Amino acid sequence: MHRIQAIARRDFLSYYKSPIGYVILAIFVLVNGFLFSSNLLSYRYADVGGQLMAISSILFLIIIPLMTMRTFSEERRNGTETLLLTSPASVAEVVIGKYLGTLYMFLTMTASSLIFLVITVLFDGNVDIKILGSYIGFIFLGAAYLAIGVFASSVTENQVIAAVITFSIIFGLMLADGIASIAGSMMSTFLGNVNLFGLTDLQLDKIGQAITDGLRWPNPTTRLANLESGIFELSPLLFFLSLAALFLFLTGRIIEKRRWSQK
Amino acid sequence: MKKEIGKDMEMETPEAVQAEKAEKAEKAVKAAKAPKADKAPKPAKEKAPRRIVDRRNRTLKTISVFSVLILVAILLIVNIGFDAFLAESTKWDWSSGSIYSLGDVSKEILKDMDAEIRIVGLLDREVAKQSLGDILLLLDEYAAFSAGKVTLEYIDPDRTPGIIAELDPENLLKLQGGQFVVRNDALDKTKVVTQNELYKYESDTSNPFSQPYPVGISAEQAFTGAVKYVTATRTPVVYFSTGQQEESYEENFTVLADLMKYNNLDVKSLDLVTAAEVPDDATLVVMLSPQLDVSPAAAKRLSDYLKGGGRLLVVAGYSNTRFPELNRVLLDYNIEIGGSRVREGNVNSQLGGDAYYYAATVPVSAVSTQAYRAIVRNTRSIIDLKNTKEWIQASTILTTTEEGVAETDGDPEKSSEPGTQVIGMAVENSGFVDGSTVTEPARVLALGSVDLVSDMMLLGLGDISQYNQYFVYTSLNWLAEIGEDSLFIPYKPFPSYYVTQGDATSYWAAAVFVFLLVPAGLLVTAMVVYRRRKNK
Repeated sequence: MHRIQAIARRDFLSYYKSPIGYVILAIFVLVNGFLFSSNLLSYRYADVGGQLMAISSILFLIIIPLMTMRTFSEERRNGTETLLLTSPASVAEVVIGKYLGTLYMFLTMTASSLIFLVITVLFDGNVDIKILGSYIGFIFLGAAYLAIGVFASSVTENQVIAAVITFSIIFGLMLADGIASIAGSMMSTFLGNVNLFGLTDLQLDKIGQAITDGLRWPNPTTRLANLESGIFELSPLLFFLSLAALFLFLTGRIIEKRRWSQK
Repeated sequence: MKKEIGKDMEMETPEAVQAEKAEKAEKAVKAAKAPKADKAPKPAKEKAPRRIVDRRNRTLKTISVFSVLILVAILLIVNIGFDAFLAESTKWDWSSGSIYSLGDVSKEILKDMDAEIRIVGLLDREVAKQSLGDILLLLDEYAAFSAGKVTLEYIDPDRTPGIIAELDPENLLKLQGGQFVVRNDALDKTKVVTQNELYKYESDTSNPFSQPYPVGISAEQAFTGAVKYVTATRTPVVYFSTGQQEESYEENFTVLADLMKYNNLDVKSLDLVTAAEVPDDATLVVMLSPQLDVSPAAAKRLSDYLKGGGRLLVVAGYSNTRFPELNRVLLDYNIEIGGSRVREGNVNSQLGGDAYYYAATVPVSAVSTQAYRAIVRNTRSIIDLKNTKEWIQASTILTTTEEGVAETDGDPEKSSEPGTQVIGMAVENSGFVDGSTVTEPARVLALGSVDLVSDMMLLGLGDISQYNQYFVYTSLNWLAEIGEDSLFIPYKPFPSYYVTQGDATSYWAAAVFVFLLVPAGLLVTAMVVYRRRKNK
């Protein structure tokens, strides 16, 4: 465990030894601040939880690739990966340690939004428990996306390519929601045109809906709706954790392969 | 010696073994490559390590692929299993006022229900999710709390046109896309819930061009009411009288009508002038702000209806109209619709300093088990005739404070002495004898304020409206005896995230701080760090 913590601490502090950590924080506060200020000035309105969820998609597209692109890529580029892989730490410890390093950075960034909560309280705005749900949803979705970013960083030594891969996966997941609806609709139309089994309109509609649901199920972006509304549920959190576990495991396999690689 | 032992032990760790193996493998590879470099032909020895390495790589690859597949399978099983069996029990409504959760009344109705109910949203589920996302969460609760008796479907009639004919074969309900249909196939009863019924709307009364905007959710009232309606074997009817220039319940009194509908009461109109009699299925007759007195024939019809155990609600705000014929009917109930306009003398009870617009007192009575206040305007006196009879039970249900004044014929010059003025009474007469048996007791409720039951008062006063709603509900409950499973579900207001303190200057200061100063400070720090790194 102490090896994991050591790696995590080293990676977390590295964000602040370069400009990247400050730039990430600045982007986050700037986007949040713009939304918060415009709502406050125009409508005297301050819903920090809703605001966090509203900007999560666009923020994750920019910030997660920035945050994770260096995780393994930089080690490879600098030639320090060999040191890491030949250290007493196991592959799992290395992967988890590096993931936690980015997660700490992400949590620090999220914590910076507490400034908006303080201002809301000062102006006697509504700070209810729904905000906690929004924060939990934001953090868990971010944690899942970070794992995707860490995975992308492990497959290439080029940071830009790693960032592009992460961006593409997250963007693809966002598009997949719409694609799922279209696919379901197209399938029911196709089956209706072929009509091999003599299905009724209602049955065709249900098949289309089932296909849409099936395609939508593995998509993390569809699982935040309830948390946004104030319904707190464990199911999406378990899903986000599973997604993170899967991508970290994949990262582990890739690192393992490289550790034993003959190149 | 100790150091040596320690060293040996350290070398025994799995990492050390791995490292040793890796070193050996590397040496083996180098050894395998070496002859090539020297160009010395040693074929038998050089192929063996490569084969070992290839075999090991293949094994690693196979292990990787299988371990990933196994992990994916485990995660799928865990997630799908959790969604199927534990998702509902690990869900909590953290919204303000639990607006997405069913209340106890609805849960009780669903628990006790035997019928199989179908709720069909006539729209694509994705469209519904985008336009009615919050409502869908509430609808899910109907399925969850009914132990499978309520099924929920979303069917787009554009894609599945047959659904309209399936739900309404004779096209009596004129179903349209976007509506919800609550249906009980066993009783062949259907109730339509429109999207307007799902939210409570308000509009800015100070702005004539203001569009109504949603301020809360009333979907639970609508759907639970619909479930009650389609599961009831009998649906009593409330008749709103016409013919005396009454107000229409379809215009400014829709909330009153909805409250009846949600309690399994059908609402219809009845022309007292032309009708031969009050229909047998009438559970209640409502006279909503009549501007003319009833004719003697209509009065007889009303009297006959009441003597057969009927129920009458007369709502008459102050006007110049007098009701001698109607009062003749009410004589059997010891009350009279008065001719005085009532004003409130207590300034603390007045709204906006208007003595004719005030908070009236609702005392504990046959109608209400608790005292509270309800908002009234332009009130007329209701007179208790004090002709005490053993079989007549009269209750005062709405009054002014002790500083109330009755103005005879609405003339402030002819004001009474200040005192408690009665503006609402509820009377039960159990004295009508039909042959040898006493008939069903008749009940009459007279209110001296029309505004009290208007949409404006039942919706437009924010939280205060709930008192008027409750008054109307308890009055209806007493009159129509909607009974133990009666339904009073107040709308659930959306939480407000508007700030209440501070001024424009402080908002600007906050905006400059979070939008300019903090990001600028971070970017300057980033530049400093960058320059330091560069100069190192």
